[in-house]
Amino acid sequence: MIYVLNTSWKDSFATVGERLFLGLTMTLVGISIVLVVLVLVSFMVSLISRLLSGKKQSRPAAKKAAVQTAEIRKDPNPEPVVKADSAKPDAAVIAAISAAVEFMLADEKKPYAGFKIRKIRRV
Amino acid sequence: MEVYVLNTISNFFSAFGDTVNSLWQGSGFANMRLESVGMLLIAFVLFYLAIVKKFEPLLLLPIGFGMMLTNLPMGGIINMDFFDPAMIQALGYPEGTLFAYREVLNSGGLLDILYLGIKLGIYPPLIFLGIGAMTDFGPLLANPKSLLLGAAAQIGIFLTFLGALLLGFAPNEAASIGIIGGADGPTAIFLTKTLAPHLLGAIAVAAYSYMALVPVIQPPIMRALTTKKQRQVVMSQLRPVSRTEKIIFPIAVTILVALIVPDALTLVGMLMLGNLLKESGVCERLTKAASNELMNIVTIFLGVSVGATATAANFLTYRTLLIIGLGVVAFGMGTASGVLLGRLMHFLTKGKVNPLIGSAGVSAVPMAARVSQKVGQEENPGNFLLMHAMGPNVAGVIGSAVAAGILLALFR
Repeated sequence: MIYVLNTSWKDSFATVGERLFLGLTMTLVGISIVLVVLVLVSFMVSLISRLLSGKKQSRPAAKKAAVQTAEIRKDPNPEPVVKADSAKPDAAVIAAISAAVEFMLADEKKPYAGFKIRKIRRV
Repeated sequence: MEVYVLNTISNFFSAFGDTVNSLWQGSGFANMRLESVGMLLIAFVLFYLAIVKKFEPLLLLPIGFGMMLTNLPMGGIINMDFFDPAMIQALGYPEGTLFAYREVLNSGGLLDILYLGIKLGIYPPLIFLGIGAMTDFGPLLANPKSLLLGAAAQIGIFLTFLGALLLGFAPNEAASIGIIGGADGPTAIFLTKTLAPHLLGAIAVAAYSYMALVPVIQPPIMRALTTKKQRQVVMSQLRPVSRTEKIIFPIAVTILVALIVPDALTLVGMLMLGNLLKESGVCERLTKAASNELMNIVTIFLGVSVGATATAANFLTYRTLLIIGLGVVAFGMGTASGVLLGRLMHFLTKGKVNPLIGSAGVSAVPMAARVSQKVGQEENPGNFLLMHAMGPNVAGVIGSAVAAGILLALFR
């Protein structure tokens, strides 16, 4: 405990100038420590995400190569894969987007936003 | 014979009158004072705000009811003397004893027992456990720079501390008033019960009332400190965050904060425990209990106990008005500092960051993030800032807990 917490603090810091000094000191110390802690947490989060994304990139590449090699050995003339038409979103996606927009637009006074989705386009 | 009968009748009426008189003297009506009526009216105002206006009803309603219970005369539902340091010493307890435990256990009322959860610092960490179990730190992890906005919003705490000090409050009282700017009720209660328990009622009422007023207080400040063009900025989509990151985050933050600011460990540790329970995916029952049953029970006990500390002697003072005024200042300065840092980030990133998300750095989750979203959409209806604003919003929870730890370390 740096400063005495009883009525004598007013005797120790009686003038406005002394209180201002105490306040500014504590303010700067407090803000600095909060900033330092959160900056360190921010660096830590960035570091964790970089380490994990680095591991992920090396693992799938190796796995993919192994799978491709196994497939080629199994069937040297594989049939082409037919891809579904991804230009039109399916009903489940439309329902999910509609629910999300409804939630965003509604509030306590007006629980139902009452809108119509006319077009959804994948970009 | 006639004299005997007359004497008997006279004695009967005399005894009847004495009985009625003693019942009257022991009733609330005879002991009601004007100050108690004033406090009851304030309790009714809190009921109105909670029930009609729906301002933080989960807290304001129990607080208002606790206030009503303690100010109804002759109820004896709480004895604040048992927690007064001067009275504790007068009763012969060693110095540093938190409460007169013999008196509380022998003759305490219901709220004396429930108040122990505040006095011993149990309820706020349990609420943080529930908050952690309900919080998704994904937006924060996707954009770690949000932590800076969370830090900036805590500047309001310290500037208000300075202002309270200059107005004549003691450093411990000023610190308790400043923490209102963190917009975090449990943190405000956790700090105040240690540093300035005599101000607990006023600070709790101010903190929770202003949390509910975030949609009213913040938008004018946000519009005043940003340009239309800045408010229209659309931010790029956040990257997906893996489950591994979400599991490592609470463990790492707990260790880091504990090493730098040990006094913040209680709140931050419980927050991160709740979050780890949620993100691990293997403690679903515990997560549900923490975010529902535990949270609701503790909220009731906390609200009623805090309200019960608001007696007329403590609450109806000039200092309470100052506290309420400083609370608005704290909120406003927290919002302003977050928005200003948002503007700086907007400048440094060449327009990629919308400064409005800076206002969400106050700890009022998720209200402050929704306000950022709403103000942003007023300028650009296709702009969805909610998830971007959630990053600073949850960062503010961590920031306000760290700020409380620092203030505890400095002034306990």
